Amino acid sequence: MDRTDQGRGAFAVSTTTQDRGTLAVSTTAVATRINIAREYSRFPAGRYRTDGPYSGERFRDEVLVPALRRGGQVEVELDGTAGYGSSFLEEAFGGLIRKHVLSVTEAADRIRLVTSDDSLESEIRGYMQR
Amino acid sequence: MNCCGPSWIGQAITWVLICLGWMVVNIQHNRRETRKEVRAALLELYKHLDGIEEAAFTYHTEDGDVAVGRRIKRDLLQIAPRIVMARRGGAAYAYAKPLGAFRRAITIENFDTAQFAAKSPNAPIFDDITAAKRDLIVALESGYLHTFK
Repeated sequence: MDRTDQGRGAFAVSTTTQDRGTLAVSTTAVATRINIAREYSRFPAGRYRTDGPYSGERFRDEVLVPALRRGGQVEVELDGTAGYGSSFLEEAFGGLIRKHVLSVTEAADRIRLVTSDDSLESEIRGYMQR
Repeated sequence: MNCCGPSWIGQAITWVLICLGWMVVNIQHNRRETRKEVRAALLELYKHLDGIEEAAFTYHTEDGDVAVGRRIKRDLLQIAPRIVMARRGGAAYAYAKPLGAFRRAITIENFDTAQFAAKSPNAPIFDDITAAKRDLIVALESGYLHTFK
């Protein structure tokens, strides 16, 4: 089942229910997909809201955290933007741990990163392990 | 038929040896060409990294120009595809961590921020950027040497 949830704030986030078989753990049964370029901005920049309209803090608070609160695994697609600064990535993903939204283990289990650039995933995983 | 067997056997052996020789030379030639192409791609990539380092210096020492910042992010984004292009011939590069460290050295602090503060040319951030670039180049060279030497 695919549905686009556009009524939960400024950003559209697609939610997909995936049948993972009888052994599937319920918390990972529903995957919310977030394509940053399409659903947030092609030009994400800055750490804090004061740094610009598409900051890491705003992405975390208005897109990522609501998606995580819906439960299940959240898949974040990183390709398609005009690039990322580490300040954005650290605030958006590392901030989940720092602000106690997720534990390190939960972050590893519930956030799936999709990108053709291995270094982005490696860097973000590093921020979520601190 | 003479005392050493039919003459066609000798001719067949000769042709087999000729074909094998040609195959070996062809494989070696292709390998050499691939090595040259990969070397050229890596050298281009190193120039690209130098360009990013220079842009980072400009960005951090001057006024934190948004356009320069965008160019840096765009150029950083182009590194991974360029490395993929240099993967010919079975070459593999452990680039993820050093590339992440390079991006981090340039953009983790004082970047895309309303609190921008121009750095002096001898600020530690530039040493970090140069060291991260060097580590990335070492990782790429290691992959190259492992594959082609």
